[in-house]
Parts: sequence; C-alpha cells; structure tokens
Amino acid sequence: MKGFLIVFIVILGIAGLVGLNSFYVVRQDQQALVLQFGSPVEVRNEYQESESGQMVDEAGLFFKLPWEEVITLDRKNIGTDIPDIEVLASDQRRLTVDAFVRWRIVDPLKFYQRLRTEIGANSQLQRFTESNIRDALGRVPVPEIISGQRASLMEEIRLNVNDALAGTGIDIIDVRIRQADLPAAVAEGVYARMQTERQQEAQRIRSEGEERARLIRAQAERQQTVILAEANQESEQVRGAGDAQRNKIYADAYGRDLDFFRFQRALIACEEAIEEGTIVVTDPGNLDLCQVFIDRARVAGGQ
Amino acid sequence: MPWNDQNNGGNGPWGSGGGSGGGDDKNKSPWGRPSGNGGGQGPDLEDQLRKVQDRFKGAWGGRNGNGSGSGGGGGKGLGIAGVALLCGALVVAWAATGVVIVDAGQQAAVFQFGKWERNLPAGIHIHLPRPLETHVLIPVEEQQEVRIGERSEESLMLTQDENIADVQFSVFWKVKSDRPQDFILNVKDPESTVQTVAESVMREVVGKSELQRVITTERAEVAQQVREQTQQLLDEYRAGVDILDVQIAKGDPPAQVIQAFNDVNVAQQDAEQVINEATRYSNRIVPEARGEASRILQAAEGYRDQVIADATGQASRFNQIYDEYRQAPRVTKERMYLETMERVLSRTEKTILDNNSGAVPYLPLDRTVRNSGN
Repeated sequence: MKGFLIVFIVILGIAGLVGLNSFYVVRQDQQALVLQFGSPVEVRNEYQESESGQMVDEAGLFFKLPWEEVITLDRKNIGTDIPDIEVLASDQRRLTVDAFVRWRIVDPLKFYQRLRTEIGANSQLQRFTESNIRDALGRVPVPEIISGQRASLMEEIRLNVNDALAGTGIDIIDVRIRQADLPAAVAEGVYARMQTERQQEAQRIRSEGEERARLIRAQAERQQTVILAEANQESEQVRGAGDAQRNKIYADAYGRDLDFFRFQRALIACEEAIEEGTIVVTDPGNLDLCQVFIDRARVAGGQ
Repeated sequence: MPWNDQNNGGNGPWGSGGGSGGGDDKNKSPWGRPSGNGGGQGPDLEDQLRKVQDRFKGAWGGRNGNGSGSGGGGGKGLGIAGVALLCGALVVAWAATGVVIVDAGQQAAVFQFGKWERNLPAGIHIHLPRPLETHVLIPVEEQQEVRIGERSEESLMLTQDENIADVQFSVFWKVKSDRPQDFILNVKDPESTVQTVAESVMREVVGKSELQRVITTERAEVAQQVREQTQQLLDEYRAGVDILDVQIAKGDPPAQVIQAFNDVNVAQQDAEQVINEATRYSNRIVPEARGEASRILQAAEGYRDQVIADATGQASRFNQIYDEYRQAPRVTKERMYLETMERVLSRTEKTILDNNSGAVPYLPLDRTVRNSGN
C-alpha cells in the first residue's frame, strides 16, 4: 500500500514534469526558437509584416516535446548607441559623431547561430556601424553632413550596415546621427569666428546708425539754411517793395514843388538832427543852423 | 538559521510558522521541529496560536495535525472538509488573479498566453486568471516630459551656417490611447527612444537652419518640425507614442559668445539712440529756422508798412503845408524857418563866441563829455 502510493506519487510527478515541459508560451513581444538537442525544430512568432504593413502575430501557447529547448528572443525594435566616432570629412575637417541604430531580430535561427545574444549583436552593430559611418561621412564635406545630405547619408549607412550584417538575422530599421559636433579645439575657433562676426555686425549697426544720424542732421541743417535764405529773399523783396512804395508816395507828393519840398524836408532834417541838449558852439553870425541843411539839399539837388 | 531559534525565543521566523500558510510548512519540514519543542520555546505565542487555531478547527484541523507531528494522523475526517475548503480558497485566490482594476487615465492590455487580446478601459474588469490571461496597466493619459539639453554637451548643436547654437528643449508625450499595446510591445525602452529620436531630429532640423533664425524668428517653426518628424519616426517604429508638444526652453548662442551677441542688440540700441538724437536736433533746428524765417518776414513786412506809413504821413504833412504855402509863399516859408529855428535853438546848449571879440574860447568840456557819454 505504502509502496504503491510512493510509485503513484513519483509517476504523478514525472507526468506533471513532462506536462509542464510540453508547453511553452511565446509572448507577443518575443519570438521563440525551438531546438532539439541543439538542432533547430521551429520558430514561433517570427517577425514579419503582412502586405498591408501590419505585424503578423503568432504569439500564444504551443506544444513541444519535453526535451526540446526553447530560446526566447526579443521581437521589439531595439536601440543601440554608437558613441563618439571621430570622422574625417572629405574637406579634411574633423567631426565627432554620435549615432544610434534601431534594429530588430528578424531571423531568430540565424541570430542565435551567429550572435547568440543581444550583447553579441550590440558589439557587432557597433563595429559595423562605426566603420560605415566613417566611410560614408568621409566621402562628403562637413556642410553636407551637418545639413545638406544628412538624411540620405543616414539611409546609405543603414543600407550598408544592413548588408554587412545580412547573415546575422538582424534588420537595421534606422541609423540616425544624433550629434555631429566639431572637436573642442575647432569649436573654440568657431566661437572666435562667431564673436568677430557679431562684433562686425555690431560695428556695422553702430556705423549705420551714425550715418543715418549725420544724414538727418545734414538734411535738417540744409533745410534750416534754405528756409532762412528764402525768408531773407522774401524779406528783401518786401522791403524793396516798401521802399518803392515810399519813394512813389514821396515822389507824388514832393513832385508838386521840388523847391518847397527841399526847404520843408531840410527843416525837418535839421530839427531831427539837432537833438535835445545838443551843445552848439558858434559865433553869433552863424546861428541859423538850418540854413546849412537847406543849402546842402539845394546843392545835392543840383541847383 | 532555524537552529539558533532557541536563543531568539519566539521571534524567529519559524516561531510563528505553525499558523502561517501551507507554503511555509515545506520549508519548515526539513528541520522537523516537533511541536513540543516549539511549545517550549515560546509558550505564550503557541498558546495564542492554538486558541486561534481551535476556533478555526474545521478549516485548520488537517493542517494542524500535519504540523504537530509527522506521524500523527488525527482528525482525518475533518481534513477532507478542510482540504475541500482550502481548495475552494485556492480557486477563489486563483480566480482573483483575473480581476483587474483600471485607474482613470489607464488602460489594461489583456494578453492570452502572451498574445494581445483586448484593451480594458478604466473600471473594474475580469479576465481569465493567470496564467491563461494576464494584463499590463498602461497610463494612456498621463503626460510625460523629456528634457533634452540640460547637460552642456547635449545642448550645443551645429547650425547650417556652421555656428553653434545652445538649444534646450522639452518633449511632451503620452501613450497613444487608441493602440496602447504598441507602447509595450513594439519598441524596447520606449522612454529613452523618445529622447534619442527627438534629440537626433532636433539636431537635424537645427543643422538645416541658420543660427540667427534658430535663436530668434524660427523657434516655433523648429519646434513644430521637430514635433512632426519625431512623431513620424516613432510611428515608423510603431512606438505607440503621441508627441503632444515640443517646447524650446532655450535657443541661444553658446555662453562663450553670448556677450558678443548681446552687444549687437546694444549696438542696435546705440544706433537708435544716435538717430533719435539727430532727429531731435533736426526737430529743433528746422522749426526754429521756420520761426526765424517768419520773424524775418514779419520784420520785413513791418519795415515795409512802416516806411509806407511814414512816407504817407510825411506826404500828407507836406501836402497840407504845401497848400498853406501856395496861398502865401514867402510868409509861410519864413514862418516855417523861424519856427523850426526856434524849436531847435531852444533845446540846445549854446555857447556863442564872437570870433572878433578876441576872447579866449572857453569850452565847457565837462558838459560836453557828460553829454556825449549819455
């Protein structure tokens, strides 16, 4: 009885063990490689896309023979950093490039045979990507790397790395240059150039401001001169017109009797010339001061 | 180290083992501690336990018998009921692994043997228990922020005109709510993927722009482009990520040259100032000149009016006198002369000297000087 129970338990245990080992679960983000004593039997949930571009999923619970071994590999899009590659561009200038590779296992069997693990894949990827980046960027000058052909260069590198790793069951989804920087010493030069450029710009702005200011001043001064000159011109015209008018008035009036005019005007002149308090030193025979004015006027009038 | 338990009294992990779950019993059995021993080392605790166990006699009977001695087969009838109950409890516990509470802002992706089956919205839900179905809770509404460029070497980027810009920015993203399973299934380490992709896109976009634009006018445009291209790449990766926004926190020239860049702004201010001063000067002298012109004109017109008025006045005076004179020429002339002389001489200081008198002329020089000084 007791022995029977033990045998039963042992059989139950073995059956359980066999049962558990006859099933395996493949998660949707994994792919599985089934090996029988090292030789491949089948691949489950291998990465593939349908014609419409959707991922084909085959995840789930599967049966296997108890002695078959299941290797689980990632099915995700995996990123690998490629740090600090010194690149010599075709214009003999150096760049420090920092990139990353996005890749995926598409053939679990090849991957397992050639690379075994993601760590193995990483080191291969780093080596091949680095050398391909060097090659591709070495053929173009720096400006093309920075801006011009960046996208097409990255695509070219992707294709090359993909070719180089063709037999390893890896698909390179994307190679992207993250940083492409000048080495520190060159960067210093760039800073110096940027600085002088800015200084030139500042000087230009200041000088142009000065130019403009002087123009404004000169225009203002010209305007000032013109305004005053025109005013003087008009003023002289007005004055001249006034004088002419005056002369005409005088001529009209005095023309009636020139002699009497002279007499009368000389008296006025005399009266105005000799002011209040003027000191007159004379002898008694010459006291008729205004006669001098009258005589002089007569002489000036030509009579 | 169960054999040290004697020193530890009842505090050891095994002291309370009698009352704990069945799983512990397995660990306990290798050292095969009889219950008598156990009672000896922690009598109070054991008593307490025993009381509790008595209360649940129905349920714990079989277990108790097991625990108190390997040879003891007491309470076998109760044991069957107990086992049934235990099994029931285990079934309930197992079924409970199929209960999922989804928080607001989350979704639960349910997997059947690892294959994605469906998504569950917020609330309480039931799926088949483990390991038939499992679930992963994904925060689909929570906004995440990745800041890029906080380390200095990360923020310096080459521009198209081969200058260097110092750019710091933040990417705001969340898990796509229509396909949250993509977020956990398709891309390894999606958080850092967002960061590296956004950084490389930013550098590409900045590399295609001129420095002056990056740091001034085109900031928003750059952010927009980075948002779009990052989204596009992540969609190609099927990352299940929505880029909500890219915000450029800082787009400056590098610290080494910022002084020179600021000086350009200062220069602009300086130029403005010089121009303003010139304009001020212009605004002063031109109106002043116009005012002066008006003054000159007014003076001229004043002169004209004055001389005309004078002339008119004198002419009319002359005319009046002349009319008088015509009537009596000699008399009028003499009268006028005398009247004028009278007025003139009456207001002068006269010193009359007779040349023939031989007197020494005496000039009142002090008065002369005083007068001329006035």
